[in-house]
Amino acid sequence: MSGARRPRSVAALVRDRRASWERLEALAARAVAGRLPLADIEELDQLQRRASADLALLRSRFGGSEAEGYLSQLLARVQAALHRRARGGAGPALRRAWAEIPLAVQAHRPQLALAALLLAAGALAGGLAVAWAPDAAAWLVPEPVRSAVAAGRLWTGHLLSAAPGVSGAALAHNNVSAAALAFGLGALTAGLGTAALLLLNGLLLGAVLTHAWQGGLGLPVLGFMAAHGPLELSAFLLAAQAGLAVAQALIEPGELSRAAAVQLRGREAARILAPVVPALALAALLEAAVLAGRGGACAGTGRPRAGAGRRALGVAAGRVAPRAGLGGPRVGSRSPASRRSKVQGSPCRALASATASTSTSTSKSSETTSAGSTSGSSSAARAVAGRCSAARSAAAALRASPGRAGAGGVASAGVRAGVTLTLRTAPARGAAARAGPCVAGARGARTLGSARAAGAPSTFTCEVRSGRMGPVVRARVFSSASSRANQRAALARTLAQRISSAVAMGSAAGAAGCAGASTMRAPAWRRNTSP
Amino acid sequence: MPTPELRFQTAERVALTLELAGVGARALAWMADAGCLLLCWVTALLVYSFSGDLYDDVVALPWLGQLLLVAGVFLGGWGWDVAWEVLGQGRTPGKRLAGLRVVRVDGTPVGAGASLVRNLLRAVELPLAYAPAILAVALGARRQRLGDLVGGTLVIRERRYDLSRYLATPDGAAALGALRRRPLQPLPAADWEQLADFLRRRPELDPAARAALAARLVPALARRAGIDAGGLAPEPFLEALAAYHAEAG
Repeated sequence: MSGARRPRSVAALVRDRRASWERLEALAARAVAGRLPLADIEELDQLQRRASADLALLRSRFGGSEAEGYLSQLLARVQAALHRRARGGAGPALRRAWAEIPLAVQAHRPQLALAALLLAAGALAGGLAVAWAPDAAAWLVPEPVRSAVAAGRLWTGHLLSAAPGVSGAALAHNNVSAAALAFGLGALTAGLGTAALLLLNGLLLGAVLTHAWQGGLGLPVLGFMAAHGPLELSAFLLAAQAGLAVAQALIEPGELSRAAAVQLRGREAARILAPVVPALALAALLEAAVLAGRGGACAGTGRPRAGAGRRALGVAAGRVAPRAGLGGPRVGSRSPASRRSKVQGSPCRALASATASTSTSTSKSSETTSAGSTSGSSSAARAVAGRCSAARSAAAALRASPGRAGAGGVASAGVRAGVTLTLRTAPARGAAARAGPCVAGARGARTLGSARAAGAPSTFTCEVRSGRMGPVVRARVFSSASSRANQRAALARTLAQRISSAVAMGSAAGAAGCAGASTMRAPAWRRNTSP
Repeated sequence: MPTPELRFQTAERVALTLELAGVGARALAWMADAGCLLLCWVTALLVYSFSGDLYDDVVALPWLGQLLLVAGVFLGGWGWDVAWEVLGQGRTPGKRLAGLRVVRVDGTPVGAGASLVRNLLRAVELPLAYAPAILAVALGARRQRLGDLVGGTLVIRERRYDLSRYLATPDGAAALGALRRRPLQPLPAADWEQLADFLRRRPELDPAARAALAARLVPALARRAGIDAGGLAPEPFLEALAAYHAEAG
């Protein structure tokens, strides 16, 4: 007690002690938020002891007062601040996680084995069912996948056309939901739900893979899954393992009470779950990357690599039939015609690269174009031509377009007063290094170019893709001399119209230009963006 | 019905109680959080729509941008609660509004692991319209939903106490002179709290009810204090009584 004088009322006690309680409150808040100097810790300790004595006094003499509630809450907060877990920062936490996560996973190996077994059993059952009776696919394989396989293309194209880029986030969200369900059902249904989920997912996986295999898409699907599948499945299995571990504690609490056992196991489950969320996010990112990479499903541009571009140039010469996108950029192997015909429905992008205008350095590329067009008569090249209508038409536009065309190949047209737009092809293999800003579909819709508006450079993207009603052109101006959005939009509109009319003219010109046009898909923009 | 609370003892042998939060406050906090999140997304989209076309721009984003976008959407959906609970000492904005706090069962601040578990388990309860959670919170002894049980956490309610009720009011100090010369017994705490409650709430009371209540309080409190009201009107007497207790003692 602070002194011999005993307070005669709550109010008197509060009046005497309020300042020290408030000081304690402030110290506790600082202790929770960070570190305290030694002097403050000693003060906190003393104040806490006195406040504890005050609480005891309040309880014994002035029970039921507001001050008692206040002090009880304050002391609980101080208690939490004093007894919180040590905070070591990110380094020690990561080191601890590095040590503890594998231990937690190993401690529950039977559950992991059970989860893997259930998934594998489901996959086997689904695969066998579809292999045995292909009609079973009608029940086991989702409709979009079936129609896509029937059309001979990957259903992942749908995801892309729906919302590229966003799909990565959506995938991450879906996967985390599934993993959380696998874990949560373990606790909620004592593992039965988790087991059912594992079996069901396995069934679906096996059925879809087998169905795709029967449709001749086995390798492409496996290729698509190779990047993210193992990571995603591992994370899913870990989540299921955590769920089954909690379920086991629920069924078999041992000497502990059921609640205590679940809680204890929950702590271990948290360690197992810790890597699941980042792993799923990474898997979704990979999946989205693969989707984006195969967005331009034109021949051989499945990966955003410069090497692929050079190979595409080889394709373009009409010597080698490109392997149509789905199998990856494996150019150089001849593909059967049946395989080729399957990709006709895939979105096909080509480039229309535009530069500031008066360039005359492209005469070489124009020769390439014409050379390509003469060699484009082979059936393989015609197949390519059928698919890559946009690329073809862009190339044809080079010849068809009026304007200040130089020695051929350079099509410049007055877009608006002061704006000149030049479409030109990429040069052939030898000249690749000094090509202009020629961009390919390999990086999805990203086609960078520049235009000169009233003397000032503008940067824009332009995307040509085949739509139901013919080629669709999107252009977007990012920066230009005029900073006003509506002027930029107007410029973009004009560009899009201009390019699309050029493309339309090219379509009329026929398939002859395709082989030459294919050269335009060289994904060389990284090297060549400098004007 | 008494409020459910969690009792525990400190190292100093002081018994402390934590008031556990009920369904209503927790639902309010959840709705506020969902509203915050929705507002964030809508605002972001709205602001964005001034400058560009979402589709085109997402397509044109560089790698880092797409990565950040994925991370943002991901964190928006799942990380909101975890981040707030870990970094904000167990309080999301909604919980702050409702006066709630997530703590471990021993009253210490919640950590990343426990928060991750308790929030991941929402994925099971959300599709069932939170029915299991509502039942568990309403009926459970410690008001824990599934995520709380597995994560080893509690949601406690923190009340806002105002200690200034124990201070003397200027009116009371003026009326105190009349009482000062008489011997007074200290009021028991419960009576004192009743008196303080009346003085705090009287501006909101209907005048008739206020007068009636004051008239009922005066004889009871005067008897406890061992004096009679003398010539004082009811309310000045009560003010003086409060002031006496605030000042003396």
